[in-house]
Amino acid sequence: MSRPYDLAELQRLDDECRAAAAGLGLDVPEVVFHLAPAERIYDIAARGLPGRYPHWRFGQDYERMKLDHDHGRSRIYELVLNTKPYQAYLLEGNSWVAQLLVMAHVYGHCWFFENNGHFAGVDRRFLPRVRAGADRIEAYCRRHGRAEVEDFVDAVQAVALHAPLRLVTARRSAPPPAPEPGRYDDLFPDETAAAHRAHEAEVAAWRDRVPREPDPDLLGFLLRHAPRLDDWERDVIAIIREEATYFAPQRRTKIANEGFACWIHSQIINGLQLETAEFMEYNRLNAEVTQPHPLSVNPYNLGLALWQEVERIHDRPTPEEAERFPVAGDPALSGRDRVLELAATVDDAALVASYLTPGVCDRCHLFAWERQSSTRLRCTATEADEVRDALVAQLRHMEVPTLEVVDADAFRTGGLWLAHRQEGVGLDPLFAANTLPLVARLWGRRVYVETVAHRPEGLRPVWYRCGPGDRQADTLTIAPAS
Amino acid sequence: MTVLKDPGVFHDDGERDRRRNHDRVRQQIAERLRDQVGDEELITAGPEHTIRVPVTGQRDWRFVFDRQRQQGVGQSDGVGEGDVIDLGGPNGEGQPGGEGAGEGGGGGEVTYEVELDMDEVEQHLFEQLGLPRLAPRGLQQERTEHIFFDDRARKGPLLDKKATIRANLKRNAQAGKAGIGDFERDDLRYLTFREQLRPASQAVVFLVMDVSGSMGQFERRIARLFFWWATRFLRHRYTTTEVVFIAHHSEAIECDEHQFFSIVDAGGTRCSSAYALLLEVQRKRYPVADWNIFVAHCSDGDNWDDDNGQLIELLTETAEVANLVGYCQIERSTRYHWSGEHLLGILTRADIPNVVCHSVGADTEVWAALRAIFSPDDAEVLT
Repeated sequence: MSRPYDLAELQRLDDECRAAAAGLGLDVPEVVFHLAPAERIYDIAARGLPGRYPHWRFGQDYERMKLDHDHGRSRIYELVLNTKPYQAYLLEGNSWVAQLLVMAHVYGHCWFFENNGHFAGVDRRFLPRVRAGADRIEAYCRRHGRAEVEDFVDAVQAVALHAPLRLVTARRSAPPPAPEPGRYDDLFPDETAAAHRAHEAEVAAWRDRVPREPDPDLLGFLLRHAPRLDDWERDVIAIIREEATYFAPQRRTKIANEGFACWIHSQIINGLQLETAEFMEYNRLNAEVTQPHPLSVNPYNLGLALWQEVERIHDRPTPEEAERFPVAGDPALSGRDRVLELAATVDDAALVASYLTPGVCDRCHLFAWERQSSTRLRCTATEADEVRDALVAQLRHMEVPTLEVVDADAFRTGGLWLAHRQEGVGLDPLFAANTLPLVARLWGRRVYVETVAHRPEGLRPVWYRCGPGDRQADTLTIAPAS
Repeated sequence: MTVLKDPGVFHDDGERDRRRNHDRVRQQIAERLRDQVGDEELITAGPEHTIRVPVTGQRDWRFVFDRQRQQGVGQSDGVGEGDVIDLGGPNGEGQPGGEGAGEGGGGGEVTYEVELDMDEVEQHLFEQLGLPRLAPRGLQQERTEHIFFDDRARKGPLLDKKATIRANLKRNAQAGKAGIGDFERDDLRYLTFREQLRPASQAVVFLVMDVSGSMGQFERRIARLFFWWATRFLRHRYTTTEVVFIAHHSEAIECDEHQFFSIVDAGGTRCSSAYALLLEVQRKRYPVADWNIFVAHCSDGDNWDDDNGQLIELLTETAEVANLVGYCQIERSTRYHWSGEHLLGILTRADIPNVVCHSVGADTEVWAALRAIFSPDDAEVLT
């Protein structure tokens, strides 16, 4: 039987969790919990932040999540916003134990947000900006037609993940260095003069080139340089880019953050006196949350295992580990301190790279797979080293291919040339052919993407080309000449 | 630190965007719904009932890695190197990379379900119907054309505070308390707007049904579905709509809704009796100058041969006063043999203006009949 609760009871739970977290040596920031109905929670979950601009896609996600919820298929247990003060949502109708679990978990997240360096640049007063952006987009909808604005937002969302980690991304570019004056230059006046002329030509080309260095900030580049955008369109790009930048550190630290929150909540709850039945329910919920998924990594499950491994290695290192991790076993630092220390600095890739040991790999039953056909996967490795490499590679790019703007005046006709640079794997042809028209819509002229494709004879270069207004991009197997 | 109760209900961004999404897939929703018109459950389940329809939406296009060469890391006990994992169907549920519906099978589309309540179902359906052949009728043709915030619904874009407070007061009063307070979801009323040409007046709809012995279970069910949707549609379009029930066999009587659907008479069929009564009622209570008059008639097509002449005469007279007469003949392929000619043939041949005939042979054809009678094609489409 579940314990009934009211706001006062939740307040008491909150105070207890907070005291317990402080007892664990955490300096816990201020958190506001909202007890909210499902509609509200799924709305925020669908749009990522409350009050974000109106768009049909959020409605689609909202309806899907709400239907799942209404039919008991899924439940979001936690929703926390990285703002000052931190705001977290509790789903009305959840059991007493579930609310307690969420609160304890949220304190873990908030500590992580507060202390992890990857969140240092995040604007914690972002919500008013989000609302202001939404109001402006709403105004554009009224002025320019809802369908038109929504289509434009669609196009921007298609490349929203190609946003930088920081809003200000000054990329330094120096002119090509002048040839070193040699001791015997005056013996070869013609050669020296030719070298200087060549250098001057290089400098002139460098000066004319836009961008001077390949630019991975596709949205930022479009915002600054797309020749045919209206002011409102640039504003929409800026709003979406800012939001993408806000989300970027959360995407980078999913495993570390969830794992840390699980690590904290289990300690907080183990410190509280729960009745047996409640403890059983807690264990059931915990098992539900850390349920492994066969095809991807459950960040709760793996994250918790990784942080536990960090703690264990520090407290009880094997001789081999003592050699590998110099601070391991240092009596001045407890295992838990070591976790806090690391949690303040790592992202997923770093955490996995250092601590995915054979022990973790076994305990989480990790395996690397590759796709054989659309319905079949083949397991390629279960060894920790290979699994770790595969996972780190995946976490580095976070499922987003790296695209760089190489030339904004391709063929001297104002085309935008993008290069996809990734070792060994190309872009998906179907997705590339359908996404490129959206980029062409933003750029307003032809757009090219240079990538590779898998052919029976091996990896071959391939190009996609698309003009504004084309429905699908052309696929070219020889370099485009215009 | 602080636990607050979220006033939740005053934020309905999710609901607004959900409607936006429905607008985008409007066409598909309407198509799926047409098949459901013949579903009796829909009309008996009440206003709180919701139905789900599958729609196909567009992919979330973005640059992704070659899906044929996809690699990843998963978690599963007992998978060894070299093992092959079958994901099941082509749209197998567990798509790796797990960003939800963005991933999926091979095509450029994703399928998902949308849920609609009865208000929305009607809105989607009635958009496809029109009121044809409206003869100009003096003052009644005054129409208003603008956006109105005219409808109060349980959900919508704009909270109607006054109506909400009124609903709350009423509910409290029913619970034996005086005063305003303890707002619940049930109390909330919203203004919904539509841009519409609206007849600024009232309508009466005469539902005429053959209740003779030849009308079996099946015929009655179809008739009920047809009447229900026809009435709903007219209610949707007119500020006030009155309904008159006329049941007939060899004689006609005016009755209430309950009787209308329960009377069974063993007698024969004389349709003219219904129209004689109808005209009498109309003259007495619904003068042409004030009322838009609609007639919906369901029968299995049997009529006494000697009555046909009089029927045509009375029907012509009715059609002159009515905006529209819809005749729906329900015929099952396995029905018993009737020696005489069916009404459908006779009426079609008579070709009386303002009379539209259609036959229905199965549940799924109810929509076709409604569409034929309330045809938007040659009418001003009121959307």
